[in-house]
Parts: sequence; structure tokens; C-alpha cells
Amino acid sequence: MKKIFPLLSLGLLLLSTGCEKEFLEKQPKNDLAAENFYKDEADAQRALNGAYHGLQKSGCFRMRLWTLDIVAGNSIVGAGGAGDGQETQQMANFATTTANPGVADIWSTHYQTILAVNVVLDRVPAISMDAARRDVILGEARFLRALCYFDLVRLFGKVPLILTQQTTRESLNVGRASVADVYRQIEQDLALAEQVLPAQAAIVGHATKGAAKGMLAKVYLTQNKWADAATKAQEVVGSGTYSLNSSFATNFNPATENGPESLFEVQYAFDPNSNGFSGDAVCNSRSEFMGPRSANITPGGGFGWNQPTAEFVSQFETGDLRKPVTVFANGDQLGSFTYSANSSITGFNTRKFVVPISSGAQTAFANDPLNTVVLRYADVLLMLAEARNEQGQSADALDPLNLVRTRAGLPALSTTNQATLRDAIMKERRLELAFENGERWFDLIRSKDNSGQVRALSFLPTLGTPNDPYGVGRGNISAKFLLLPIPQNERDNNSAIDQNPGY
Amino acid sequence: MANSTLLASSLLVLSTYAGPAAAQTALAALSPQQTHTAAETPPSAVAQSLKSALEELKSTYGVTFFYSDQLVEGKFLPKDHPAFSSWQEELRYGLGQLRLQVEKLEGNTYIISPLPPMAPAPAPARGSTPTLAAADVPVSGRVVGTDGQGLPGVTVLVKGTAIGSSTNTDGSFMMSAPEGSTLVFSYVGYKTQEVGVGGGPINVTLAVDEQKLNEVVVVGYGTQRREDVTGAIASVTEQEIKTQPVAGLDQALQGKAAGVQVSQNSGAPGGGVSIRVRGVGTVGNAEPLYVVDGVPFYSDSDGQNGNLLNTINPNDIASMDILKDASATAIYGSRGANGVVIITTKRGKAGRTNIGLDTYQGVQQVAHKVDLLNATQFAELNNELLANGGQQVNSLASAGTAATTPDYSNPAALGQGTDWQKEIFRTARIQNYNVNFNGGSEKTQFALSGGFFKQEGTIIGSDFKRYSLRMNLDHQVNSRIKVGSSLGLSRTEAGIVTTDEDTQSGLVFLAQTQLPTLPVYRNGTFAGPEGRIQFVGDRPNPVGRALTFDNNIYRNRLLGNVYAEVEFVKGLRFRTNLGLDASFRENSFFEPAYTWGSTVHPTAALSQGQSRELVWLTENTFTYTKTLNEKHALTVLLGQSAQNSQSRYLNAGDNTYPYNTLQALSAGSGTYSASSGEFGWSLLSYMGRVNYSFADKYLFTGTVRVDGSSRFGTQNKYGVFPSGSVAWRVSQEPFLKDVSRLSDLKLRASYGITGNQNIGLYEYATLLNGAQRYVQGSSIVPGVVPTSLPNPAVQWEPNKQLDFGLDLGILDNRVVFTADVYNRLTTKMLLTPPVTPSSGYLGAAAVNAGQVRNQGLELALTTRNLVGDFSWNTNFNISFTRNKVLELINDQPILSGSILTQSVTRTAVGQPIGAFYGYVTDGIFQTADQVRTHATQQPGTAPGDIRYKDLNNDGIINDQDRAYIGSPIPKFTAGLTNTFAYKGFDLSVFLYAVYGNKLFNANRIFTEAMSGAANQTTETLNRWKSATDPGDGEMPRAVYGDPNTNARVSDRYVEDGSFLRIKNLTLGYTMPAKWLGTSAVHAQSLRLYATAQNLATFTKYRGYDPEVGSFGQSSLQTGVDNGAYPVARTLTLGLNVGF
Repeated sequence: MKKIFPLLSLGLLLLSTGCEKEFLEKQPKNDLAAENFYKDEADAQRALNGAYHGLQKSGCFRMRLWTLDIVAGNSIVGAGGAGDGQETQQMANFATTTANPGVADIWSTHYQTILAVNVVLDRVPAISMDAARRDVILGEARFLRALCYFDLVRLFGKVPLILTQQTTRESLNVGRASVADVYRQIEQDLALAEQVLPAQAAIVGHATKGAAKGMLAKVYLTQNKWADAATKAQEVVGSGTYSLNSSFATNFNPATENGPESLFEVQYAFDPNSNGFSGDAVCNSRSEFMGPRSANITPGGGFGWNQPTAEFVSQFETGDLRKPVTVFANGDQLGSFTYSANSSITGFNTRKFVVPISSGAQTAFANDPLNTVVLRYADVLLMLAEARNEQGQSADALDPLNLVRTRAGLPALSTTNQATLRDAIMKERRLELAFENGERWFDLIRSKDNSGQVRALSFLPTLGTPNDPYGVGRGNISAKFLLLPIPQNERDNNSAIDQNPGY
Repeated sequence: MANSTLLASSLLVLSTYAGPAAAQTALAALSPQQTHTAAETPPSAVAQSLKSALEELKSTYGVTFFYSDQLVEGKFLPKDHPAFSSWQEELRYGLGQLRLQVEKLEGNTYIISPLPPMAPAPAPARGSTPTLAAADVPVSGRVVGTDGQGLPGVTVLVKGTAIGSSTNTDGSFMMSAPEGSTLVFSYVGYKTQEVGVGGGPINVTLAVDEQKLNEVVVVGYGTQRREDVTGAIASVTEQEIKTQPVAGLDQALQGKAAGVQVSQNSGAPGGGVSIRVRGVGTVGNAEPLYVVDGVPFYSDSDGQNGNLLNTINPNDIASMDILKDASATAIYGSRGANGVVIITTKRGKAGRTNIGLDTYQGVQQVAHKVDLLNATQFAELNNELLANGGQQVNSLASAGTAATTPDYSNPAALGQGTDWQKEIFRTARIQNYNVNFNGGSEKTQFALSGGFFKQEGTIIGSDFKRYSLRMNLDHQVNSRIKVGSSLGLSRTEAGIVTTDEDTQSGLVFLAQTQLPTLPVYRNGTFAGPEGRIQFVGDRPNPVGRALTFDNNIYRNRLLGNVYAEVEFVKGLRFRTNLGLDASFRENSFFEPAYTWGSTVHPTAALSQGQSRELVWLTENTFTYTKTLNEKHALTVLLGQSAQNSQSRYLNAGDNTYPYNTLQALSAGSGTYSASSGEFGWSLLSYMGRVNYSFADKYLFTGTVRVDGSSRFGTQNKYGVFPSGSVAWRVSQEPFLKDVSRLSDLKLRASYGITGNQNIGLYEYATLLNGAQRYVQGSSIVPGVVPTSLPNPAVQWEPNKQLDFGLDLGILDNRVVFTADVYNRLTTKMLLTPPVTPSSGYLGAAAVNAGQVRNQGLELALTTRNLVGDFSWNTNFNISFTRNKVLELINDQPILSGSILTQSVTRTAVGQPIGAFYGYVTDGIFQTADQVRTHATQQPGTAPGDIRYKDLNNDGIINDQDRAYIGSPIPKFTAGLTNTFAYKGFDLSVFLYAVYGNKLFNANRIFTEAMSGAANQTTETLNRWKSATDPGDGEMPRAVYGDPNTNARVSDRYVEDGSFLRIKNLTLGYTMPAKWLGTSAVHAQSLRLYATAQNLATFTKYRGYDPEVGSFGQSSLQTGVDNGAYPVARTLTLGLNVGF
């Protein structure tokens, strides 16, 4: 007995320590742990889905990007009056402060997507899976990253260029890369995506070769790299993959999504679990936001956001088929509904994205299924026209421009005066792409008018009384407001980041 | 326990013999003479010689005995003996049977001498001649303890002589004594008692000497003599907690131990408690670790919804020892930083089986209600505030349906109206029943108990019940092996009413704000507001909520262990311990469909949940005790422990039920929801402790524990927690030894590092959010992104503590004084900082940053002021604490405690944790001129509104004008207990005081707002009405909508939280044994007592009760009275019977 007990207890001690490493490992059962994830193709796909999901968020395509058209003077917040959408009103009146929550939303949402992308780029190469499939996933990730940085660099200028997942607190203090470096990265990502992505996506709605080329065209155009822009736009046109829908309205109908005109769309669907006010939702909410206020043609009654100004509506030529698709004007019919100008402060409402209850598309409060078209063929045609015109090939610019005008039911233009054509193309872009993801704002800050002035600075001050009685703050525009401020919460927590001038 | 175990094998080697019960009874009936004879018969095969037993004691305990050889030679210890709680007792008993006695000379030195000769009758003692006069008479009787159990081995002496005897195994004695003389009964650990010799048997009840009972201290993985302890440990005995009519042992701790602050978070039956040992050590979880019979756990109070500690029946507790300084807590390593409360339950003793019945019955009441407006006063106020706010005033015409909407145009006609406090508060019953069986043979001892506790809440609809069973067993297998178990089973059932968890619907808030113009019932159901919201408000009926909502929490818990202890060689013991803590929790919440005026709940809703946690524990320790050269005493402990926890939960609910009577999930027809989950943690530890003393004068303790925790990543999986302490028993030095009045003087110093690992379970890991879905064609597919910045380097909070202490005992320990000063520094405090948005993370894991310092002084004084027939003892303790935050991440303050979207507390560098933060008031604007010339407040600010100080002098009052407006941490807390006893009567008065803290009375944000249709306190009668009727100068005007935000968080609501409370007053009477012997019940003992808990409270605080704990135990939100369930005053009558 005497000898057995010490041995026994010693054995107990050894036994209990022998498997200690295992004993002290506890795997969470409710959350996925990174240590157990990123193992196979399904995981790779899910990680990529997480990145795509970022585009759906309110800080990106569900809301903030389209509110830039309000800043660009196409519309006002409208909605419930002075108290509604204050952060957007602040931006539209060029009184933006560093604490503006809308600005912070854009910033953080885009970086959330970039994190999701970087995780894919960091982790997927190590996953044992079909090599071709892996390359496509990596290419899509690069496309998404380029998309995000392209928004960021245009809106904020110099931004932190984060290309891998940050895993330590020390690594979070990242200063801003030069605008040129950011564009270089965007071009590099898109060029790689262009190479590996297929012409037709295996999964509907995922990035394609054409989408990468089209985005690259826009990136070049924004940098005034006219020849490169023309080349890429021409490649899209020449691919034969895309064509204009015969009807303009087809682009904004849930039944005809991802059509031949579409290069890239953020996919939305009716969400049975939540609505567009939830960060995790997969539905859109533009329909509810833009539906005429309390008109009850949308399930929540309509919020009446994004009310077009009279100045904007007056830009449509007589007979422009796009006008009744784009705006509601007094007396317009939608089924049995008759629009009244009293529904709006300006007398108009945005109609382009409204999915009425009567359409039969399944909708619920702030929960509509309509995709957001990020890039479509009409845009590519207009980019091609602009790139050619800026290179002095004004005659060649007419073809793509007139394709768009013809579809709108308008007569072809024939002028070859570069300056006249420049304004014409810009106006065409304004009407064709109205309320679509801030295209107007991006055009205003990237392009110069014929006197060499940035359009935002020359155009916006012309608004306001009497052209636009609601454009009170438009005249506040100054060079500083061509960029948004770096959000205060980033500045508070990132010791390496500086602020844009004037904020 | 450990001592008696060892003794059983070393002193009395009798373990193979267990006589039948009849034999023991026969033995007990023998005269002392016969017993002695029996003991002196030549040794049987199993008896042990006295000499060898003494040698064993010397080597085991490092004690020294002086005796002459002839006294000891040829004597054998008796083989029948009861179990004792210490070797001294056992030795005293054994020697007594041999007519020897042992006296302690000093330190560990004892002298053995012959007992004085016995009286001659009934037979002369061996070889001695009686020297007494012929007037001697035979005297017999029995000595019992207060529990009625016979006390063996009690020395009985004729006063002033050396003549005497001792009691046998059941406490009986028989001797001769001179008629009219006085017998002195003395026994280790008990108070000496004197009884005159008269006619008939002498039955004596000896009371426990509390001072001496404390001599063994539980130190974690062992026990120590109080005089050997080098750390700071406060002990609370069974006696101190057992008279308090409380649901949980934590409440009973209040005011009993220096350095331990206990505050009740909720007065709900079974409500939660916050315990802070030596200040608030962290912004995270600051609750201590509890160790019940060796099984450690955290209390994890569910706020008001019940408290895990309530699963333990306070009647089962033998002692509570609170380890405070690093020297004491380091043995618990990464869990020791907030102090450790060690709870030991009662164990069996050999001897006759004692049966105890304990019960008390009582009533509870809310001691103080808030004075509220009656219907007339409310109507006047409502008219005034609406008029001031430019709103339509209530009149017969505007009231509309006059049948249900009260008309305020003639306030006097409304009279008193409904007193909602009277409607929801009640006189509530409290009852407690316990039965326990305690006894055993020399080999096997048991303690069995069953308890039932039922407490109604002082708010209707709330109650708490506990059913508990306990079975503690000890069995001596042979001379070297002992096994045993502690097992507690309990079930608690709590009926919950919502109070402070929801400020809008909590019953205490509703009772204060519901209008006195609303009746309780209308049209056969509960009444609700009907009419314009400006007149009648939109609050639900609190009585309706209390009586129709069905919200219950049930817990079943099994907590216990099985142990085996082996002594390999002398002094080397091995103990293995297998512990289990299994908790099963169920909750159910049902809200029926109702229409009470405008408050409507269209369909019934039900949610139910279940969770269970299984914790197992295995511990193996070696203890080696050795004394070298009679000077060097060494005890070494080496051990290992592994603990594992696994939890699962399942919750489900539906919000549409067709029936108010059906509470089954399957009956729902609305949006159905369900969730489940599983998580776990583990801890693997190694610990060691060395106690060394030299000549009983210089004491040293060194402790180290290494903890490996699943909560931390590979970088910091293991933590090392060392501590060391020294003590100098100055009283043992030659220059003080002769000072007879000085019983003990010890100086102590300790330093060490302990940890707090109480953070989330997977903070080190990169967790992914799998809910980031995307659309793929017609389906929605899962997407996964990381959401939180991981911190693989996250580690426990190290807590560095320095302590200096002094223990002083004078006049034979009639005065015992303990003082401790400490400096406790929490470093690398766990904080959850914001992340840079450009990282893409939504949040971050906790990081180790920040420092908090607690400094304090603790004094404890125990005096036996009077001894003898009339005895008077005093226990006093007082603790001073200072708390200061020294460092936070980027010095960024932490805001907490949101009321009406305003934060109430702000934890910042240089301030105590959870300091109140808000605007500073500066009287009332009397004129429009004053409003105009003062810094801009609000667009609607007008005379009668509160003026706030423009602290940054920028001409505008905004959130930059807030300041620290009070600390919730008391400057000191104190407890004073006086116990008096005379004959059978005992009286104990326990006072508890808290001084120097502030409370934030958030109730008044609602009850003194005067901005809408809510009832208000009568303080608002002193409101500003005009410059010529300015009221009391503090209460602003009544105005609809409160345009100036007079109700913003400001010093207006900060009140003095100091109080002095008669916490407990107990008057008891113990029947003399002679009465019981003749009674029909044949009880051994009987005590009746009456207790008043929270009898009276002296305070300036205007809320219900100044005892406001922490909201959900959060250290960031302490002292915020947010409609808390008030603590009750309880009056009980109790009875203890022993059979």
C-alpha cells in the first residue's frame, strides 16, 4: 500500500498534465474561429461572399453613395423637412464637419469591405482547391478592393492603403498613401482581375472581365488618362458581350436584372429576416427611401428622400424617354396612383428605383429586392465618347454618344466642336446616370469645364435662387469641399493619419 | 478537519475497532473509576502507548511536551473516543481518562501533569487519600454545548482546590464535592462556567468561546492556526451569520469583516449582491472568487433576477474566511485579485446523533416610502405645467369621455386618489425551516441537513423559494486513509417582477409615476390611462403588470466533492479532491394579451430558456509537515488542479399566443425565434506553498501558483502568481514574554501578485461573423468576415498588493485587535478600446491597459468586556478605502449608466471608478434678465428654470460644461456588534455604517421632472411659481416638455449616501437544561429568539433606501438608484431545538 499511493498520485499528476495542451484549448461553438475556417473551397467562397456583402451596406450602395447626388445638386433630401437627413443636408450645404456621421459611415463601410477582401487575398491562396476557381475568387476580391479604393480616393483623396488584414493594435496606425499610389494599386488590382476573370460569371452578379475593363476605363477617365480610358472602353464595346436595353426602364426593374446592359450590379433580394435598416440585411431600401412621402405606394408609406430640383428636371429635352422613368412630376400615373406635386418640397420625386407594391415584386418595409447597377453599358459608351473627345477625336465621339441619345428617343448630335461636345457629354451623363451612386458628384469633381475650372466649383454656385430655391447652401462650395474630411473617429484613434486641408 | 484526521491515526490507533452501539452505551455508564481502570489495563493489540502518541505529536505538529517519565510509563490511551476538531482537544480527553492534564506553557510547549486527586466517592482514587471534609456529597450531571450535544473531556474542578474530574464520552460526569462548594467547568474553545453544588444533578451548557473558535483559519488548500497566519484573512463564524434572516450568505457577510464591502443590488427576494474586497480593483468584474468546500466559482449574479450564492443554505455554513492580501489569495492565482471567500460547510462529529430543528417566521416591509402627490395635488400640478407650456389645460370639456378621463378643473374634488405604493408594496412573509442530523462513530461521521426557505417579496408578484439538502460524510478507512464527501443539492424558484432593469416599465418607477387619478381596477380588469396623453400619461398599471406577468427563474444545483486523504509517512499527506458544480437554470416569461385603457398588448407573448453549466474539478495536493530541532517548523504544500466548465443554452419564444392561459411554445402562431449555444473554459494549475517558522517567532510564507487558462492565447496561456509574507511574533520574544497581559503581538508584511482573468472566453481568438450574407441568384448564401480585432496577447489583470498588518491580543485575548494597511495596484487592466475605422473591424478584443489603485486601512477589534454570569462582547470593524484610476487607454474616459440617453458615470484618470458626471446647478433663474445675461442654455429657458454653471466660460451651456459631481465609493464602512448574555438570555445589536459616498437618485429624474403627466414627489410642492413665490430655491418651475431640460443629469440628483443602520437586533433565550429534561419533548436544548433586520436607518437619502449596490454588479455603475427594489425591514421569531 505504502508504495502504491505515491505512484498512483504521481501518475494522476502526470496524467492530468499529459493532455494539458488539449485541455486548455477551447473552441467557440457559436462563432466561427479563424483558426478553423479558410479550409476549403466553400470557405473561400463564403469569405468572398462576406466581401460582396459589404457593397450592400448603407455606407456603400444601399444609401450613402446615392445621397451624393443630393450633394451634387440634382436633388435635395426633402423627406421630413429640416430635421431629416441632417448629415446629408450638412454635406449638401457644404458645411460638412469632421464629425459628420454620413462621412464616417462611408469611410468605415468601405474599409470593412476592404478588410473582408484582404482576408480573402491573405487566406485563400493557402487553401487547397481547384486552381482556376481560386484564381477567379482572388480576381473578384481584387475587383472589389479596387471598387472600394476608387470610391475612397475620389471622396477623400489620400487614404490609408491597407492591403493585408491588420492583426495587431500597433498595425492599425496607418498614414495616408499618396493619391497616385492609391490609383496605382487600383489599376494593378483591376488589371489582374481583368486577366483572370471570365467573360461570363459562373455566379450571376459576380465580377467579370468586362466589369474589370469597364471599371478600369472609369479609373483612367478620372485620372484624365484619355487614351487608356478609350482603349478599355473600346475593349468592352468590342467584346460584343454588352448592348443597350431597348428600353431605359429595363435597367431598373427587378424582373430584368443582370441584363445585357449590365456590367456589374450589387445583388439585393427580399430579406425575410431583416430590413434595410439592419447592417446585415441583403435587401435594398432605396424604394422606401425615395417613394413619395406618405404616398403609400411603398410598404412603409414612403420617406420622400432625394427630391429632384426643378433645375435638374428642366434639363430634360422634350421627348426624353428617360424623364418619366427618372422622376415623378405632377400628374404622373403609376397604375392607379396619380402623383401630386404636393408630395414633395420641390414638386418632384425620384422614380427610377421605386418598386411599387402594385408591381407585385415582393416587398416589405424598407425591404426591396432591386439591384443597384454599379456599371452599365450606357456609362461605358459615354466614357468612350468623352475619352475620344478629349483626345481630339470628336467625330469618333459622336457614335457612342448618339447610341445613348437614340435609346432615349432623342435626335443624334452632330457637332464636332470639342468644347460643345464636352458639355453635351457631361449633360448626357447627368441625365442618363441621374441618382445612380453619386455619378454626378464624381463627374463634377473630376472634370473641368471649358474655362478650365472644376465643374463642381463653377456649376454649384449657379444653383440656388432663382434656379433652385432650395439650393441655399450650394454657394458654400469651395475647393476644400471637393474632398470629404477624414472622420473624427479615425483621427481620434489613428495617430498616423492627417486631415484634408481646411477641415 | 485535517487535524482531526491526522490525530485519529497518530494519537489513537483504534481504527480497526468499532464497537456496537450497545458497548458504547455501557461504557458511558461506567464510573470514572472503572474507566480509568479499563484504560490502565495492559495494552490490547490495537491500543497505543501514551508515550508513543506524544512522540508522534511532537514530530507531526512540532510541539514539545514536558513530563516526568513515571507519569507516562505504562499508560495506554483509551480505545473508545469521540472525534475532536483539534489534536489538543483529543489529547486533553485522552489524558483526562488517564487522570492527567495538559497545560500550554508557551508557543508549542506543553506540560503534562497529574490531575488533582479525585474525590473519594464513590471509590477512592488510586493510592490517594481524600483530604476533604466528610461533608462531601456525590455530584453528577452532564455538560453539553449550546447545540445540546454532550461535551466529552470537560474538566470539572472544585473551585479553589485541585479536586476534580472530567466528563466522559456523552458529557456525563460523576464525582464528590463539598456541599455548598462551586464547580468550575472548563473546556478548550469554550467559556468557563461556574455552578454551585446543590441537590440533584448539575446540567451545564457551555458556550463557545468565539475568540478561541477562530483559532483555525481556512487558508486555501489547508488550514492554519490563527497565530501562524502571515496574511490578511478575516473570518466570519457560524454564530455571526446564523441569526440573520437573509436568503444568501453574501448578505450575511455585510459589516462582519473589515475590508469587505457588501451592498445589495436589489431588495428583491433572492436579489443580487455586490461584494468588493478591498475597494474596486477593476472596471471589469470586481466580484471575489467563492470557494465552497474546495470548489471555486464566481457568483455571476443575474442582477435582481437571482443570485447563484442563494443556492447555498446559510444554515449549512460552518465558517467563512475572506482572503484579502496577496499572500493569502496568491494560492488562487489568476482568480485571486478581487479577494477569495472560502466557505466551509458543517461536518459531522463522532458521538451521539444530534438532531437540530431550526425555524424562523417573520414579516418584511419596506421601511420607508417616498412621499408622492395625491390626486388633488397632482391635478393642480398638471394644470400648472400645461399652462406654463402653452398647452391645453384639462377641463371637463377637454377631458372628453368624462367617465374614464378625470377632470382636473376642480382638483379638490379628486381627493387622495390611488396610492400606488400602497398597492404594490405589501407586508411579506419570510419563513425558514431546517432540520439537521449530525453524528457518527469514530470511523464515520456525517452531517445531513434539509432546508426550506420561502420569502415573499415586499412587492406583490415577487417571491423566492429554496429547497436544499446537504450530506457531508467522513470515513476513516484505516489508520492512513480517510475518504469523504460534501454534497449540496438545491433548487431555487424565483418569481420576478421587473424593477430597475427597465426604467420605463419597472414597478418601483411605475408606482412612483403612475397617476393618483387612475383607479387600480375598471370594468373588471386593470385600469389604464384613457384620454389625452398630456392629462393621463401612457404608463401601464403597475398592479396589473405585477399580477399578470409571469416571470420565473428556476435553478437546480449540485455542488460538492469527494475526497481521499492518505498519509504515506509521518507528516506527509496526500489529498485528492474531485469536485462537481452542476447548475441548471430555466426561465420563463409570459406577458398576456390585455387592454388596459390605452396600454394595449394585443397578443400574448412567451419566451422560455434553459441553460446548464457543468464544472468539474480535480485537485491533488501533497502536504509535508516537519519540525527540526524543535525550532524549525516547516510545512510544504505542492499541488495541482484542473477545472473545466461547459455550458449550453437554448432559448425560444413566440410573440403571438391565442390564449392568456396557455404557456407552451408550441401554442404560438406568430414570429417564432430560437437560439442555442455552447461555450466552455478550462483552467490547469500548479501551486506550492511553504510555511516556515523559527522558534515560533519568525514566520514566513511563500506561495506560488501557475495557472494555465483557456481564456488566453498561446502567448499568455500561463501566468505565474507569486507572493511572500513574513510575520514576527513579538510577544514570543524574551523581552515581552513575561508581560503577562500581552497574549499576542504579531507584525505582518506581505507582497504578491494575483490576477483577474474574468473576461470573455475567446478574446484572444479571431472570431468571424457568419451572418454577412449575399444574394446568389434566387437564394441567399452565407458570407463570413472577421468583425473584431483579436488580441492574442490578452492576459489576466495583474494585481500587485502590499500589506502591513498587526495582530494584538491582551489580557488573555480578552482584547484582540487587528490592523492592516494595504496598497493594491491593478495594472494592465482589461479594457475594450475603440479601433480605427480604417481597420475595417467593428470592435476589438480586450487589451491590457490601464491602472487602478486602491489604498486602505482596516481595523478590527474584538473585546470581551465582561465575562461571567453577565457577559458582554464587542466586535468592531472599520475599513477606509481610496480608489483612483491612474491610467486608461489614451486617457480616454469610459462612460456608463445611461438614463434618458445621458451617461451618469464617467471613469477617468484621476477619478474613482464610476464617478458621477454631469452638469452643475447654480440655483433658479428668477427673472428674464438673469436668463438673458447668463450663458445660453436652451431656446425655451425661462424664469423658474435651473441655472447651470458655464464651467468652460464659453457663453454656452453644452456637454462641455459637465464635471465630476460625486463618488459612489464610501470613505469608510463599519460594523459594530455588541453581544450580551445573562443566564439564558442573549442580546446582540449589530450596527452597520457607510460614510462618505454619494448616490445618484435617478428616480427623481422622473419624479421631480414636472414636465408631463407623471406623478411627482411632494418635494415638487416647493416648486418655483413666480418671482414672488419662488418656492424653496431649488425646485424649478413646472412646465410641459421641460424646455430647459431641468431633468438633465446634474448634481441636482446627487445625494449623500451615508447611513447608519441597526442592521440586526436579536434577543434570545436558551432554556435551562433542567427544564428540558422534564419536558414532554425530551429536547436537549431549546432556544427562542426574536430578530429585527434593518430595524432603523439613519440617513439623509431621500429615496427608499440608501443601500444601493451596483447595477448588475457593474463596477462602472454603482450607487445609481434607478428604481431599485428597496431593501426590506424584517422582523422574525425563531426557534432552535436540539434533540
